[in-house]
Amino acid sequence: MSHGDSPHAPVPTLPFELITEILSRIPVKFLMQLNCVCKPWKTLISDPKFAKKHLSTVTVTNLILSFMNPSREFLIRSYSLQSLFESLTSIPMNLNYPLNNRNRFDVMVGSCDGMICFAIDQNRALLWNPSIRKFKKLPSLDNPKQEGSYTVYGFGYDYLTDTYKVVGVFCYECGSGGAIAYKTEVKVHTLGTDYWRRIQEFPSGVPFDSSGKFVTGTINWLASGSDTFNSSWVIVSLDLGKESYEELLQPDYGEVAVVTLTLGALRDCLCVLAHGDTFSDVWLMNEYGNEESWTKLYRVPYMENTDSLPYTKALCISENDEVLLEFQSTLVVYNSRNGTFRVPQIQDISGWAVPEIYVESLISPCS
Amino acid sequence: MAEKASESSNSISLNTVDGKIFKVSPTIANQMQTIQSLIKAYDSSRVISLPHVNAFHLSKIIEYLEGKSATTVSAVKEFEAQFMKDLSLKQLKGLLIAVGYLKVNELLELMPKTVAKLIENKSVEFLRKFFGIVNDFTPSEEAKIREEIAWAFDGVDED
Repeated sequence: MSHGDSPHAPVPTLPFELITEILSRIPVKFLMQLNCVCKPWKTLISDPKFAKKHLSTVTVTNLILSFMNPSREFLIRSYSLQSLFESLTSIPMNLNYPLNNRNRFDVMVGSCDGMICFAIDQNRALLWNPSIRKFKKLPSLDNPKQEGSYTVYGFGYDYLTDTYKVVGVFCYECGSGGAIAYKTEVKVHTLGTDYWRRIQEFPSGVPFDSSGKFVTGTINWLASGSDTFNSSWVIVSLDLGKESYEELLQPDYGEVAVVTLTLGALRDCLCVLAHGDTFSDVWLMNEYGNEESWTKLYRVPYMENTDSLPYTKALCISENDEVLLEFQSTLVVYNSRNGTFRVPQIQDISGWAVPEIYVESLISPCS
Repeated sequence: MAEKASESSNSISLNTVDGKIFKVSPTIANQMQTIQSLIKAYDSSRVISLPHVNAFHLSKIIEYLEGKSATTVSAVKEFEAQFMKDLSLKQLKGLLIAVGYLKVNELLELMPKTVAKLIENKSVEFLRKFFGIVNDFTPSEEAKIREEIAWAFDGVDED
């Protein structure tokens, strides 16, 4: 410590660790600009470990809307959720869909850690992180095209192997005459590999034509009961780590005559919208896998001037307990405290738009 | 009262790089990990010299630790905001270096957040100067990167 008394120590600079701490708290778009500051910064910003650290410190959550404009271009816009809830207006940002966007409408499967999965067709899916403009087209599932066949996808993160996985459930008809039944063929693609692996088939029934919902290491589908003549629904859950299925017990809907169900993810929990005649009940499984933890959050009445068409998606809950819902093809914010609805001023899109929620991240689908 | 007296007799003397001696209570000293380990290593009666910390920075750190412990939980946020607001970006940088050296964990959580907020949307040139970074790209390398990430420099896309 002999040099400790010198008043003329050189002007110190921040150690790289502290720079890392600062940069891990900066939003993605600005960080992308900082790629050109110097080589060590560029290396840091593209380091997968840093991407994870960054994801755990900064969370900017956006609403994304995909739609087709009158010139038949597939467009995607992003809106800040915070400003949407606060002021109900949000300046949109156009995101450049990485594939040729003419005459297509790719279905959003879901998003996880900033990457959005799109179903291109029965055999192809796409992973795209719009915040860093990186994408990966997955290899073909190579399923035969058949009359009435379809593929339902799911996308999520496997905590066990620390990888991202896309699941493709190919559903096809078999049998003939009066006894047509559906069968499934399930494959998993682990991000970073270049192939699909076949896993066990669906344990019961077939998933409806809606993507799987990712919740804490599992993908969840609403599926028809195994009995074709019985119009019951089951929730089938696939553990991405063990790659095994489980059937989850549904909430006790009580007296409500449930017309249909919608499955979703809300607050990182599995969510069921149970649609009755004049309202939808929003149920949350607070602790994943614990059937006792199903809790009814809200009862949302159907908005006026509508028939009994239910809410199709619960997207997000704000800090003030407002819930953003998709009602037919519009978005509404329902305030559960005073029972009022508001329509966010983002309806600059004519026609049908599909909403999804995603966070901004540095996680790259191209590893 | 007795506790206070014993605390003052246990107080630890810290000597900053510009020669100022601070007497702090063990409670405060223990929140600086570097000092904590120095106390363990040396006889506690000795004055601990801090070669990388000046009086201004140490006084701010003590002010923070004392202010934080003196206020209620709900007031902590307000106190922290005011504490940070009173510092210039340049002072924050110097203080952060001291905080990093002394390993004051709570400030290591709070300060990068504050600095991050303040530098957001500053130019690349400003940041190089602020962080004392030498641009190690060749002009053509930098031009290429800037071209690749040109979109990130755009404002909001308009229709």
